[in-house]
Amino acid sequence: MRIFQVVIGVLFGVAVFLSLDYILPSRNTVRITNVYNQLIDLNGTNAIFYASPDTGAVETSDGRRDVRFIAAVRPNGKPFVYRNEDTGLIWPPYFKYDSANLHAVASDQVSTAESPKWVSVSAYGWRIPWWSVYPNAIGIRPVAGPDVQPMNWPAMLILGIIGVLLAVVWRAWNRFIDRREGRLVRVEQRVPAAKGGGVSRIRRWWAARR
Amino acid sequence: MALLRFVAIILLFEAAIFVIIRRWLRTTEIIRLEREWDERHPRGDSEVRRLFVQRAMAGFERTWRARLVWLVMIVPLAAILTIIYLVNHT
Repeated sequence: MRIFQVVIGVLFGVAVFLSLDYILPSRNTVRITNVYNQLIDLNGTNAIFYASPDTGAVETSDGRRDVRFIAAVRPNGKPFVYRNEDTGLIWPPYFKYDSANLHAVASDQVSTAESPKWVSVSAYGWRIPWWSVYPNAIGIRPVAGPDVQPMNWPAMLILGIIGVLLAVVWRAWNRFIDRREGRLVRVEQRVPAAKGGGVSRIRRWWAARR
Repeated sequence: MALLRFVAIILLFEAAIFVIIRRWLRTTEIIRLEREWDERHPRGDSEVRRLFVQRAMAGFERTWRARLVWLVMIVPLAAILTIIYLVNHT
C-alpha cells in the first residue's frame, strides 16, 4: 500500500512538472534564419500539440492546416524551429491572436551567419523532432548578442502566484483538519481543545520545532 | 464570436464562485453573531436575537471583508486582459 502511494505520488509530481514545463513560457536567444508556411497533416497523434480548430485556423476537410513556422539557430549552432499559431481561448491561456504580426516581426529579423541578428524568443511548448511537435512562439525581441539571456520573469511570476495559492490552500486545509480533530477530541475526552500547535500532524511537528 | 463566448463563460464561472463565497461568508458571520448573542444572554430571546443579527449584518455589508469578495469578479478578468495586452500588444 505504501509503495502504491509513493508510486502514485511520484507519477503525479512528474505530471505536474511536465505540464508546467510545457505551459510556462520559456525564453531563448536564437538567430532567425527563415520564416515559412507549411501544410501540416493534423490527423496524427501529435494533433493535440497544435492549436485547437476553434481559433480561426482554417483546416481542409481532410484535416490539413497551413501553419506558420519560424526556423532558427541557437548560439551553439544547433537548429530550432518554432510554430507561430494563434492559441485557443481557454488552454493554454495565452490569448494570442497576433501571429500574423509576429510573423512580420520574425521575417524582419531574418539574418545570415555572416551578419547575425540575435533575438530572444518567448515560447511555450516542446520541440520533439520525431513527433513533429513545435513550441509556439509568443514574442520576439532583439538582443545585443548571443550571450544575452533576458530574465524569464513571466514564468517566475506565474510560479510565484501558484506558490502563494498553494500556501493559502495548505493553510486553510490545515485549519479545517485542526478544527475537525479538535471537535472530535473534545467530544471524546470532554476536555478543552488541544492547545499549542493544534492537532494536525504538520501543526504538531511545527509546534515541536518552535 | 469566440472571444465574447469566452468572456461570457468566464463571467458565469466568476458569478458562481462569487455567490458561493458570499453565502459562505454571510452564513459564518450570522452563526458567529448568534453565538455572541447566546453568550451574552444565556436565557435567549429568539425574536430579539433575530433583530440583533439583522442589524449587525447590515453593518457587515460595509466591512472590507464583505467588499473584498468583489475581487472574485475583478481579478480573473484583469489578469486575462493583462495577458492579452502583454502577449499581443507589446
